[in-house]
Amino acid sequence: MGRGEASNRKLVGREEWEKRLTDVKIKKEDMNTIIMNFLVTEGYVEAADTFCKESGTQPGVDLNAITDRMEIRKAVQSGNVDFAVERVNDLSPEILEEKQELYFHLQQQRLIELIRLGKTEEALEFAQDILAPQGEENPEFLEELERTVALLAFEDTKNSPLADLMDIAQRQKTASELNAAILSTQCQEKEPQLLNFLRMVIWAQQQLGEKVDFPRINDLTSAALADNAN
Amino acid sequence: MPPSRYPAPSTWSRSLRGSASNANFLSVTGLGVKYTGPGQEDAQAASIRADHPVPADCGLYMYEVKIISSGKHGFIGVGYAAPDVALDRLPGWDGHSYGYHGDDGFAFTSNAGKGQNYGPTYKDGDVIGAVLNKAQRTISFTKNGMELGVAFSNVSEEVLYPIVGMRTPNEQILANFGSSEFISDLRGLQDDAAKQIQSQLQAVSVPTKGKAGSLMGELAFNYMLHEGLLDSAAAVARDVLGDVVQVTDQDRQQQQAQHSIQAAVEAGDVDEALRLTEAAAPGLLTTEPPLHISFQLKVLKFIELVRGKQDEAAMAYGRAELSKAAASLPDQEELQDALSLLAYDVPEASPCGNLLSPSHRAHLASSLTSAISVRQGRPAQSAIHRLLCHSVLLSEELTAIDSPAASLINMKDRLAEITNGPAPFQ
Repeated sequence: MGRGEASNRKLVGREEWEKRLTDVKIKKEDMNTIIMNFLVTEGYVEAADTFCKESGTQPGVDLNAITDRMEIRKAVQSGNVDFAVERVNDLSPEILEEKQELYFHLQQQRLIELIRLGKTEEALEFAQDILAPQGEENPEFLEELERTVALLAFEDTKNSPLADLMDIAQRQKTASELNAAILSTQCQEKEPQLLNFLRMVIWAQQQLGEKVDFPRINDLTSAALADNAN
Repeated sequence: MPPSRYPAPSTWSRSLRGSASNANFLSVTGLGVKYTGPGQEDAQAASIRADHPVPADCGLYMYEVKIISSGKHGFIGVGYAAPDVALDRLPGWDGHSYGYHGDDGFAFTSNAGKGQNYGPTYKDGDVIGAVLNKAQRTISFTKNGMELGVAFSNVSEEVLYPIVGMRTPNEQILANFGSSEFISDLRGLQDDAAKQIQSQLQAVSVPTKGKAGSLMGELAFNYMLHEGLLDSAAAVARDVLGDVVQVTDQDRQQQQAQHSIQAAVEAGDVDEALRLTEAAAPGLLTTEPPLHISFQLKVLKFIELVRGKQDEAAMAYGRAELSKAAASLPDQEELQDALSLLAYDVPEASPCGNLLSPSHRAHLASSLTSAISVRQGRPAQSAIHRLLCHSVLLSEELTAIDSPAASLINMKDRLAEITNGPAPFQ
């Protein structure tokens, strides 16, 4: 601590924060916009369409134009990686040529799906013939490759230390990465504003935490206020 | 960056130069400073500070110094110093003092006496820019507009003044605190600093593994459920969340009830709204002490009577119910506003005409449904709503503590942009 530095951490208690929270006015239209932007950017056409009809919020883009993107996303989310890769290559073949990491993640997902289906032999073959060479070319993929292949060693993958790979969230992650890649070739926003917003909340809490003791929101899903740090 | 709340350095401070013994070694003319002392030894150095420190809420600050003359040896230092740094030394010869020196191009800080090899030397005609990046806690310099890179990092002092010092005869400089155009691209430096924050922001990892697999999908689902947009919620559950969550019959019933109450309030049918509320949340409106919302509903009923030109009934209701209910309020203003409507032929056009507007009723309807939610043991607001409120407070607090990073990226405007859809980063 240098001369001229503030030494007292300011304290804002939970009760005061709660009270101030109730005084903040947020427009419903703003919330609708941020939700709609999420649905559209992530390619959830049906949900966006329903939300548009029910809340009167305009999607801001032609929903038909994102149908391709949606189909591809749906394919990954339902475990049909082959179909997704095929469709992406129809749409713009350069995407997978240029983005090696994305291509690797898709192949990794393919392996996970094979394991999920219990096609152990096919999975092993796929890992040796397709994935391993990619890992050799790109050492940065090796660790992930090894983790994924290790799934083969567990009978009950869902209760293994590698269970996260089998989770639906892993499909979402791969689907989102692919979706973002397609969007960037179409010069559209890659990421939903909601994601930027959540990042900003986390970042701002870190920044403020350096100088102020205040109640944080740690669980973004419930948005419940946690107790002050000390 | 938003405008600062603090005065910025604007000129040299005549009272803050040299020490008692060598204050007169510097002759100051406006923004110009010339060394007029003997300049024989280090003890005869003299520095001068600006009138104000760098504004606390300024994310990136710069001033420039033009070397008019290198004098005898060009022992000139340009930089920043904390308030209590002695001024009979060159910038950087003490702790809490930072200086870039013209004769050797070294960067000095602390009293170890040794500088670090930093940049080129500078002399007559050169313009040196001293850049303080409060967000990254660094000081860097420019020479004739060219960026020389970071000279000092971990600059922890909260208060720093622009400072220049000289030590041999006829050394002379002219400062520019922004009253004339800078040689260096300040705007570009600020943009770079903002981009640096932006990339730090971009690197923040958001936990995506909510219990249903997608945090954002869950937030959307929760919002729609909360707003009674059940078809949308069902679509999100299916489309985004892979049916891990579902819209239940209970959700539908609750939504139906809330919708009817909302509709009744928005139609001004207060009696119906009260009846439905009592059914959905028994005792909510008759609690002791009475909720503000029950008073507001009574006011609404009164207003509807006024709107229907039933002035006598309105008056009677006002006497019987309103004045009694208002007794428990902290102030009587709301009551007076409502009663004042009686005095106008065209109440809609009166100063309190907004009480008759649909938006007033819509607001009341949403307060009422929130209160019912809470009564039923559910959160008053959706999670996304709470997060947005929370972010507004975070932004206010960051402004209050003069966060340089929040100021560099203009957090308040950014938050506004987020809800206004796509906005390219500037």
